[in-house]
Amino acid sequence: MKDKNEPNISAQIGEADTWLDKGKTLIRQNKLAALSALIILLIILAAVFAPVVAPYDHLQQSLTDRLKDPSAAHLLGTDELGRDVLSRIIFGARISLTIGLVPTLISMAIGTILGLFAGFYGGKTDFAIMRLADVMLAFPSLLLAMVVMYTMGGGLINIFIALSLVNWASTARIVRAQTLSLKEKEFVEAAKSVGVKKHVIMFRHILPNCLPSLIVLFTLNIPSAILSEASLSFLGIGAQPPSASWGLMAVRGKKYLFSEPWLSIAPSVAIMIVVLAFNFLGDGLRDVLDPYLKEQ
Amino acid sequence: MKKSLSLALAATMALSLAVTGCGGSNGNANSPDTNTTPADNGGQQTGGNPENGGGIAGTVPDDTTGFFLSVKNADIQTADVQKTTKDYEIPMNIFDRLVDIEVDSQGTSRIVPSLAEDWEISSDGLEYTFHLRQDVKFQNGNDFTAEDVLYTFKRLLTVEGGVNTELLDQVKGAAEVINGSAEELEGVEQLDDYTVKITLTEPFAAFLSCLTAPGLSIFDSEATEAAGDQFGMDPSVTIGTGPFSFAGWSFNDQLVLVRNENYWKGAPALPGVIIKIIPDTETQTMMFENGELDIIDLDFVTDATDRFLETYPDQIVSGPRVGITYLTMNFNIEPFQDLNVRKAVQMAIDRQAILDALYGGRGQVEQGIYPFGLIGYNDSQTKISYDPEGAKALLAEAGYGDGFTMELAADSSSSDTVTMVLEIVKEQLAAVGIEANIKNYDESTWLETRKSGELGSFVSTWTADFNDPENFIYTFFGNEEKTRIRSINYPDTEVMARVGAARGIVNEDERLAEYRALEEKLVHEDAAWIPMYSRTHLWAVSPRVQDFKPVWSGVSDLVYYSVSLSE
Amino acid sequence: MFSKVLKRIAISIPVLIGVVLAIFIMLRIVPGDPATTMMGEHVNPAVIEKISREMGLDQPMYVQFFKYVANALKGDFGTSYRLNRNVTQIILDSFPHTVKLSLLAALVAWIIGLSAGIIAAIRQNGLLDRLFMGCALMGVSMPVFMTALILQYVFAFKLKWFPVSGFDSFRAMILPAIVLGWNSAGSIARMTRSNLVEVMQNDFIRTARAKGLRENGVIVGHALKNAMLPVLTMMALQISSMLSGAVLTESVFGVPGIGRLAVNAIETRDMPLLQGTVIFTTILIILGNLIADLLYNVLDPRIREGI
Repeated sequence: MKDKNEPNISAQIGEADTWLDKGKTLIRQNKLAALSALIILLIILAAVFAPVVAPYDHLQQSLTDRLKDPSAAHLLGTDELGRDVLSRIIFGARISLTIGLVPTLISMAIGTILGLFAGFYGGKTDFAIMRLADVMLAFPSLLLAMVVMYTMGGGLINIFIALSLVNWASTARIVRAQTLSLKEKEFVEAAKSVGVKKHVIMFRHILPNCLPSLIVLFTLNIPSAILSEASLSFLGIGAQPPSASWGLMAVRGKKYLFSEPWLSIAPSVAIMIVVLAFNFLGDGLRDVLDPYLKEQ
Repeated sequence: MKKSLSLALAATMALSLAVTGCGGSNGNANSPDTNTTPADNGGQQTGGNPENGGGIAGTVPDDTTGFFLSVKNADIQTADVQKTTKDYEIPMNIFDRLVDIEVDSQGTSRIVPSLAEDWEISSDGLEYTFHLRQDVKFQNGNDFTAEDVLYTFKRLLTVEGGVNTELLDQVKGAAEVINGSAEELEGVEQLDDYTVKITLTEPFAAFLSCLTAPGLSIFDSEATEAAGDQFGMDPSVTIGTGPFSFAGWSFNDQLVLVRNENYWKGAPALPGVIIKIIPDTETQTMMFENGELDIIDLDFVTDATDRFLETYPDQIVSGPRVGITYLTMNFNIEPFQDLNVRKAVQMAIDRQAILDALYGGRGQVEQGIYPFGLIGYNDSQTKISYDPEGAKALLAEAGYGDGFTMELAADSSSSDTVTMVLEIVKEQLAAVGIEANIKNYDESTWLETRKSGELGSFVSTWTADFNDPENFIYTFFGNEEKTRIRSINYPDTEVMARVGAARGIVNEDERLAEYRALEEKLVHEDAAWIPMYSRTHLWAVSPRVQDFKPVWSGVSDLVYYSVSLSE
Repeated sequence: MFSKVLKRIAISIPVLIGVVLAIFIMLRIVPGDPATTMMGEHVNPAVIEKISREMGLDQPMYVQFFKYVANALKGDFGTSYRLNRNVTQIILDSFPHTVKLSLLAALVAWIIGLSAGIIAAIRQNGLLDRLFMGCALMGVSMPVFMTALILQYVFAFKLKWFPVSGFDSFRAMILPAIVLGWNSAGSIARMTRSNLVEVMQNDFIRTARAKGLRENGVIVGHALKNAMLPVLTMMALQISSMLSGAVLTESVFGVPGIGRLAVNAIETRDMPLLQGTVIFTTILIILGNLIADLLYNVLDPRIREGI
């Protein structure tokens, strides 16, 4: 695959370790992170195969079976419209994970590209991009998301937009900082000297070296997106029914805290497990991949 | 740009000030830090009780023992009732109106005297002569006279930010005052110090009901004029004749009322009321159960109502809620032009099941347009039965045997319960083969689309502005424009002409008979709207609360006059 | 040094302009007529038109913008649609409550975050590490409103140690401060841990160890000092997340602070209030970042010399 003239990139990532080795190190060194990875995998599988995994149809109402206590038939009871809570949580994983993934991907893609350009070209480009990032970072994230939702109204697509808008700037900063230090490195200088095009250098030489940081950042941004959506739901400007995210389920179930606590506790615990799992995995990955994250 | 820095510096200073202030201001749990100072404007020598400061507007006494602890889930915008269509709680307690309304347990209402002790109506229905009470003083000691009525009504039409002008739409000369072509309100005359004559442009039988609206609370001409735009904002200048004075308001924290010792009906039993602002309903619940509140509106905790009824069976009070929840069908959208389709939808919805599921059956399934508690409410009219098989047959007859697709338009700002109503309706319609899709709109788009007459079916609740059928039927079926902006587009102009004409029928029996005939025609013959239900308003009170009686005042705000606390 | 400070301040200015402009534009692309949305369905169109004129909403957007900026520079953020009051005044009335809450919460955050971070670093990858990090992260892993509700339920409702809501006594402030502080503790713990781990691998720590200093002494005496610097910059970032968290915490506990204002503004679609609140908090954050940066500059050389 590699052009003979190009320096070996994998060598830059981490001496002789391959990704597989990294994985092994992770499992050996940090059991918790490995367990977290397993949990995340299971939840993703449950979300993908929700119709198979869930005991009931998550939208099937039964007004005669409202607010039933947990039982063998309904492990987590039923909600205010008689729907099976466990099934709703399994289906809700689809929405909550999507809310975690999509805006994070979008914002990181934007942030990475802008960060690369800023770091690589420097000068006015850098100044413009970074001041824009400063503006975004100056807003308290939830308030900014609230403003966006105020303007555009609730709903899934708008949540994606709001959260993407809020989060790109931190990625841009980190990528820019790494680009700055990487572009002084020998292999980049070498590539330049043999006349490799700028965008090739940016995307094929510098970007891969930012990957470890990006992966860690990605793992840590997902849970914060999920939590932000829950907060927006609490304020009534998050996901809209019937597409129930875990956050919305917790908010709606909160009203039954004194009589049917599982309605709010169950989705909250689901959020907690996912958030903790991603956090532990992120921390574990950081230790293993050892990227340049700490100073930012 | 330097000034932005000075602003930033100001912010820093504010921050450091707040930090230094942090240590000292603990302790007294009941002292609100109102930023208002008692103004020394003349007649504040009223209210002689030395123990609690005696009900001076704008002054919160240090000792608030024995105060009723109430709660609201959002702060008010103003106590100037001419500038709000919903913040009625403070006005209902600090002002009086010319006449009041009383609703009995059977849901019938009647007009009773208040600041006007009696009145005559001319035989053509155009002239109303009110004889005012002569023993009424404002909380600042000023006498209440006809001049105050004139001032208040004129201010309603001219004040900046006023939103209740339509309450006086029928008064002669109102339009001229609003558009500025006349200085004085021609239709309101002072015959002597205690007699006011009001002339209408056309007979309007609902006018007395209109006068009971909180928006027509009577202000003190002198104090209100002096207060300017601080009226309703600064408690010390917000003066009325009511049983309580407005003592304090710290925003997002609490509102305080204190007893008016000189109230013309006799001073209230309560020394005062503290209304806490607590947005979170679970917090409210815990406060109530911990004894930090004397009352909780079960509306805010609809879903916990069953538990409250079980836990506090002897501490529940209920009152009428003069409002109807309805479902619309837009005549301009396929296939709702078809009578059979509309009837089928009426029959396909199990309204009792919805009321039971979401509100524990607390309320009435409605069959018409005028809800329980409204003048004109009719409990013996034709009933719409829940009959999915019949609905299917009607659909087949109309050529929609395979069903059709329709929209349920949801306003994303509406409550969870409304959303759940839509979810249930969707399921029930599916059972007769109609595929209803819930479409979420943000609030403003929802309103705009509805105004343009193009909104799909929606569920909403109309609560009376004043207690008269006119306020319901005219709002939805008064004329072509009215029915368009509700996205109903009812086509029968003849019927709508009758709705308009009914407003002018002077004979009360004839008028109500016509309103009932129109209701029958619209709902049962033409199936032009789907009445859902009206709900009962419930509160739980603490064991020490005595004689709490909910008063209907437009949105069931609390009136504390009759309440007392046992110790 | 002085020119450095000036330069840093100068950089903040375009950011400030950008913030105001961004918020202004975002809030003006709201679909629908703000006056209609604001007044609701019981008000007739003529009244709405009149209100709309009174609020200056019939003017072109650039006119509205320059008027707004001109007034904002004088410290006037306009008049709230709903409250008929000056937005600056409303904000300044609510602000002290938020400051109290945030300061107490910061205290809680630093206590939890630092102790968890230090213990986790000493016992790196051990059971205690996981346990303490887990604890610190717990506060940020549940939706804030649920953490608040659960603590409220247990400590105020069941155990009756604190009042359920309110913010008028020190006792009433404790629960909201814990909720908000715990929410920020996770990131402080993580930062402290990773910095300590790194610093402890440095040569001078090894030297210190070789000198025979006890392990704990090493950490407290040397490593922590060096690890604290980046953690200090976190303080600035903390302001931002605190203010975000305050929005929810204040709503649950009924604290009449600035976060509540933002929620009020959203609920009642009060654009000037929302605009004022967001711009005000953003100025605070920019200011906080500025101070942290300057502090960093001041502290950095001294700490290096101290080694």
